[in-house]
Amino acid sequence: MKRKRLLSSHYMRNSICSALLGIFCVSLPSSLFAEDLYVEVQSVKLRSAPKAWSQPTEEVRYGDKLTVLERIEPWLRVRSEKNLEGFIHESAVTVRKPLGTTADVALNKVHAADVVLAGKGFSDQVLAEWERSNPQVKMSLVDDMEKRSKVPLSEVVAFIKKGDLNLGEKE
Amino acid sequence: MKFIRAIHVLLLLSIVGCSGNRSTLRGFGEGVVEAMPGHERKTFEVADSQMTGEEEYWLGKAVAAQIFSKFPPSNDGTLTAYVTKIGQTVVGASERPTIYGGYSFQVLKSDGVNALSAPGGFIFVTEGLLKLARNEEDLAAVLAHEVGHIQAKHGIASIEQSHRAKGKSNGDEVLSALTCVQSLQLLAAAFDGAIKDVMNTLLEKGYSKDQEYEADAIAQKILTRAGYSPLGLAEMLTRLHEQKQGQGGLFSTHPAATDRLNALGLPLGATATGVSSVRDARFNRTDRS
Repeated sequence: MKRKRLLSSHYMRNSICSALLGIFCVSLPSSLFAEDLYVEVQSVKLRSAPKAWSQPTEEVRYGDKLTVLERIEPWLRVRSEKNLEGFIHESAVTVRKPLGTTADVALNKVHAADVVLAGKGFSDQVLAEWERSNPQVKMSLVDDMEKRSKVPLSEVVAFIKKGDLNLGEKE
Repeated sequence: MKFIRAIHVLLLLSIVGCSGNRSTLRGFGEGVVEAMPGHERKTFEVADSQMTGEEEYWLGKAVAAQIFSKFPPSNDGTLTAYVTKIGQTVVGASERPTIYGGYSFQVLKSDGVNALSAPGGFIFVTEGLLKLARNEEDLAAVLAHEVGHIQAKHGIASIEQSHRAKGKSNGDEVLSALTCVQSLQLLAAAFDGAIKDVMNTLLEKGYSKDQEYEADAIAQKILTRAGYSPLGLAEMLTRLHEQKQGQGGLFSTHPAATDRLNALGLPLGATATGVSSVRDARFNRTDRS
């Protein structure tokens, strides 16, 4: 009887160990194989669902690191540095860590010349230099165009709904 | 794109002269840069041969400014707002909905029938084109075609082709005279050359036939996904065909409408189907006269 109880407790221990091992293995992909990507656009809001017109949540900015939790192509479920989760379209991220930003230069994190010279290529500094040589161009018109085009998401969604267009649910 | 790569290499080489310190190059992919005195040593990944979305944006912004120097913006803010909402709708259905600075739309004061897209998401349509459109589907088709050019990065491709030869012949000359101050000027010069290439493609030379067909094919997919009639593009192409040929703008820079319809497998005279009355009503409320 005692031996039977011992066998039984041994069997239980093994079962618990196997179960724990199983749980560990299931959680392995997200912990060991988590992929880091970087935001490649000036700013974008994460979405609550993998749809273009779903509810926006946290805003992430150029250079922010995101950890990929799941891929639902072309969307990625990610976790931000603030530990918040949401969806982002794959067109907004890059695997390459961005070079120093103008904000970094302002904060004296990197030397401006290093940023310019280290292969950042065409940048706001280059545009400003080009503008100095082309004073006739009216950049304010482009700024106005950009400003006017930033239509709130709610207005575009209302436009789509009223026009009986596709919000993505039919895909 | 070899030219862009050459610029990156030249800039890295110039750092040696700038800092007076040792600089190590490890191929085209990355570089270790000794910082200037008083600054930490920094390691940067050097941009590869592909132009980044950020570079595309700054270039496109300058191209947009050049377009405004040729065509002023329309005074009708309501019309531009309407075009913008259609544009944002088709962008949401594209495969590249999120780009560095987002997409921007503008109606231009011009009777010519034209639509243009600069790299980085700057899209323009002329008042003349808006007069030609008969419903919202037509406008959506034009905007989806322009988004197609941006999605496929056709504007950037035009720089690649034109600078392949020039970059090689100018390289030695530029390298020998390079200083720190000149490096920014060198980039600005390359920038200026790239702007001219894109402007030449947009206004004079046009994209290749294959690029136009690709943009049409992308537009078809976008329109279907967005919920617009996929025949809207065919309808607009038919309208273009019915316009008297031999005009400038879109007629001189695009393949014949009949060839584009053939490539899409659609007949001349096709009309958009399933157009909602609400879309028709809001289109008719716009003043396109």
